[in-house]
Amino acid sequence: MLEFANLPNATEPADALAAVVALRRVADTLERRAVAHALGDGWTWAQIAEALGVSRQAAHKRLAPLVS
Amino acid sequence: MLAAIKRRLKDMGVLKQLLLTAEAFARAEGVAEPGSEHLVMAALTLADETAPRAFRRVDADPSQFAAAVRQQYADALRRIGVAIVGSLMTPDGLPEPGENPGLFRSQPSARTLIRSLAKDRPFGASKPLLGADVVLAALSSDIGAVARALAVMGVQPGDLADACRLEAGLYGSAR
Repeated sequence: MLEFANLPNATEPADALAAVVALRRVADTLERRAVAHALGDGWTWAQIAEALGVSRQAAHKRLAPLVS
Repeated sequence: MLAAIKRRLKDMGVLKQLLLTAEAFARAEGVAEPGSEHLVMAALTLADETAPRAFRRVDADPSQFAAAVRQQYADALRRIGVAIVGSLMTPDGLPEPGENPGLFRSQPSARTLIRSLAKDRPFGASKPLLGADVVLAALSSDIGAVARALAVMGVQPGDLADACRLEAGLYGSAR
């Protein structure tokens, strides 16, 4: 379980939600970069999907346009 | 009537350029669909130059807006104890996503901005669609990436809105 040093207080939703958006941006960037490297290393979409915990169709539909 | 139609056609051309540029900014950041912050970045590049003029009127450097958007993401993460080291918050070293086929796709914040632009520009509007109009529409929301980036830049949204209205009003007149 990830532990964060300073989780925003629930009474500060603007800061908390901004952090959520930032985390998604970082996660999306990391995912896209990792998938691009995986494809470069010869991974199949089935393997990538398994690693991400989604179906092959879902992984390909969402990520193929972002890395091709 | 003919003038209104011509102006509307010109507005459509400006809007197309705005959307394509916003998409390019988003892709350069590794984001598939542009948000309102990318539309503001695009507005700052329009040939009418009313958007960067409005920024300069409030002593803000328009070339720093994109950096301020990245900064507000980094600040948001730092507040929860997450430090991003390296290029994960920047476009460096990333392959750009491929172009979206077909229709323009965007984040809800961009769709809201475009709807606001359409609502506030009745058919036959006397001025063409300007960068300042886009920034003004983006200022209608006081939450989200644009608002937070302006806060990073030390810009008061109300002051920038006044500057946008002033620049839009001055457009086409002798300076």
